[in-house]
Amino acid sequence: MDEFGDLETEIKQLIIDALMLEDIQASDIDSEAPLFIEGLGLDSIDALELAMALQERFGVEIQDDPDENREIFASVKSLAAFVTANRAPQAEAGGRG
Amino acid sequence: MLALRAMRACYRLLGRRVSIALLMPIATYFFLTSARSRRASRDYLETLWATPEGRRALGRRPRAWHVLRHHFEFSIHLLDRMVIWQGDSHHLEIEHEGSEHMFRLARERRGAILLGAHLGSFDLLRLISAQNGLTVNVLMFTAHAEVINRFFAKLNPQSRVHVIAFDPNSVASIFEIKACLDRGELVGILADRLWQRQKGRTVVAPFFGRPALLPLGPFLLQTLLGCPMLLSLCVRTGPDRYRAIARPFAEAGVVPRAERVKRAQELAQAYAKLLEEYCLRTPYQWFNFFDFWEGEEPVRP
Repeated sequence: MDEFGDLETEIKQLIIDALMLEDIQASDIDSEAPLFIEGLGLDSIDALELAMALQERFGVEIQDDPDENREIFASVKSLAAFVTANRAPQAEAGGRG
Repeated sequence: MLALRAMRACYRLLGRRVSIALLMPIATYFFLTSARSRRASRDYLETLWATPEGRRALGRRPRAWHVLRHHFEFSIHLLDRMVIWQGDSHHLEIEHEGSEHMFRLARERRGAILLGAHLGSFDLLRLISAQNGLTVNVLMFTAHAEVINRFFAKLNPQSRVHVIAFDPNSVASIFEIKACLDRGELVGILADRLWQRQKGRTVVAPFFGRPALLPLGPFLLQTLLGCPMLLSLCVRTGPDRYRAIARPFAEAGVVPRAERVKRAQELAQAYAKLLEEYCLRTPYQWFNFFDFWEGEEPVRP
């Protein structure tokens, strides 16, 4: 559980860095809050930017499936679940920012 | 809608030539029924007139007659879009200017963004793509994209134009755009209408001496995905003749994160500058019939 919590924090930090969100700390983001429209109010360009950052950091690739993508990008929690299920074995701690 | 139905019936019964002769009442209908499009047209023509190059392009000080002429030109484009939708392309002749750039990218299967505008008819891409075997995807802000796709598939099963229903606030369709580009297809985007107002996704660009509001999204997309970008326009150059224009606009290459917004703003401003150039060539084919400079919501005439 603890490891999972770490991943969520890591993803929150990744969101803040990738989208250059100012005045927001990882602790300000609720793991279960919606990311799009409500919550952080992200948009499609943010999603693309975030997907590229996730790929860089964890080696996970977002496919072209609208329904699945809606689920993956629902919250930090769902993003963490997606990363856990799909991350490349060697990409651990390989964060290059 | 009434005018469109009349136009369609007229075209079916009498053909394109006769329909054009009968278009004036339809243009007059648009002219009389939409005060906003009348105002927008006048505003655009006056803005052009206020610049030395615009004055040269127009030749005469714009009056009500020129506004009507502007609406008439729009009606011809509407008719020809319908002609193309029906698959009756033999009526129209296409001349090419720079299309080899587009064909080369398609041949090399390098995905590229075709940057369009409401100048002339972007819809002619349908014809050009069919004639040259290109696969083109066009972004549309509508939930009706599915219906439109089915409609075109039925009209013309060979059509290689696919409409992407795009919602700038959703994650759903943005990865479809990326997938198309990854497959080496072309993605057409009209970049002279705002995607959304919030989040600083707009950019101010001078357009004929007045600041206009443009969407930043199309240009951010290029800096993120690093695909080449071509300006792509289709303007009418004769009674049955259109000119397909393709012009290299942005080189391939991903822009580093910290520089993306600045680069996208520069691209948007360069786009506005190029649009000016093409507006001067065919000043009456600018069909952004809304308060373009103030960035008000567009209205269909």
